[in-house]
Amino acid sequence: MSGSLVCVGTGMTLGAHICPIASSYITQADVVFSLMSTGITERWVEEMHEDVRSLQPYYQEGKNRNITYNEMVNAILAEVRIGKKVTAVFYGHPGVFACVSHRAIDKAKKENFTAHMEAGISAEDCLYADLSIDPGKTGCINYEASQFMFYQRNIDPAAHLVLWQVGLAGDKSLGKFSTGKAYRQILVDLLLKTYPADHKVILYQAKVLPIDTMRAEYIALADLIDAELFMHTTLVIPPSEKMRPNQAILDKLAELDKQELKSSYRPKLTLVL
Amino acid sequence: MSKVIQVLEQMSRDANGQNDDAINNLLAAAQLDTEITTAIINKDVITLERQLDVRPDIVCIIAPAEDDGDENEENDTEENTNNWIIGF
Repeated sequence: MSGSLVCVGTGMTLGAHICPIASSYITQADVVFSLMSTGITERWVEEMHEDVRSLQPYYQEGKNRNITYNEMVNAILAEVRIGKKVTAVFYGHPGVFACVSHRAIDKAKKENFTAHMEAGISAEDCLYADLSIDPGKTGCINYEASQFMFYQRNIDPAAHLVLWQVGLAGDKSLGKFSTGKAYRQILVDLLLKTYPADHKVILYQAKVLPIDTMRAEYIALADLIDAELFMHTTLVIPPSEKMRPNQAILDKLAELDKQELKSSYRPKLTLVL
Repeated sequence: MSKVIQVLEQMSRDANGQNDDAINNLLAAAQLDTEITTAIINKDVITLERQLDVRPDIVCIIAPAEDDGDENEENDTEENTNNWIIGF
């Protein structure tokens, strides 16, 4: 019997967000790997199946996390290769700001194993609900905070900007679990090129347990340097400007509409022989 | 599934179970240890984690700021990373 892999998410809040297909893949697996965001949610998954193996032991502060992620992938693939039906469980959505699932599925497919991902409720989804943000209204750009600093990325001050993993912003070693004020100063200086220092930004943390309190803390951008940040804190920057019309495009569209209207008035002639 | 986890699951899942009265009724029916019940009522996650003896120091970072790239993934070992830092 050939091994297989499915990556599922539990959603963010214990019990509330896990979908039926994810539960089914967990209970029906031969072996389950888990990567959860808290000890209690890790215990919750452990209680769904007799053989749940946490991927947490692969983390080590000071160790490049790409090594950690590759070790996790290898642990998952080792079971697939010996013919097991493997389910890898992640908090939130298994493939949103999460590389292990994608790498594991890619590798499994390259080795001709069946592998796929099921969608889950991500922290981003919770953010839209908790902060009453409709990404469709003015647009929303999502970046990993350190990647935003390492590369020249475009931002639009008329859209929302969401920076994930801001608690470790600026860590080039990929080995730190947090970075301090000096790193945050560089991030703030970068953001000040676009936003005013007193622009209100939001520190967000989704609810994971039913007894948690969702964090939506509004601070001035300049105060980000001294703010309390955790691994699971997300920085949300609302628009600081209104959207500006693109007049050149609007003029082209108006001309097109005029032509279509004209052609709709022309009589439709039928040739009768 | 353990009673505590079942209670937490029930609290999350039940739309009618989101108020204090419903939670108190649920906890009374579950008859959990006093310390655990108190931690839940007080929304004291740290005490609850300690009572359940769950894994401490969980890491929840799964997005690298940059990948090594497919061709480098197999070579990304601790030794190679150390050599890069030293300058080989």
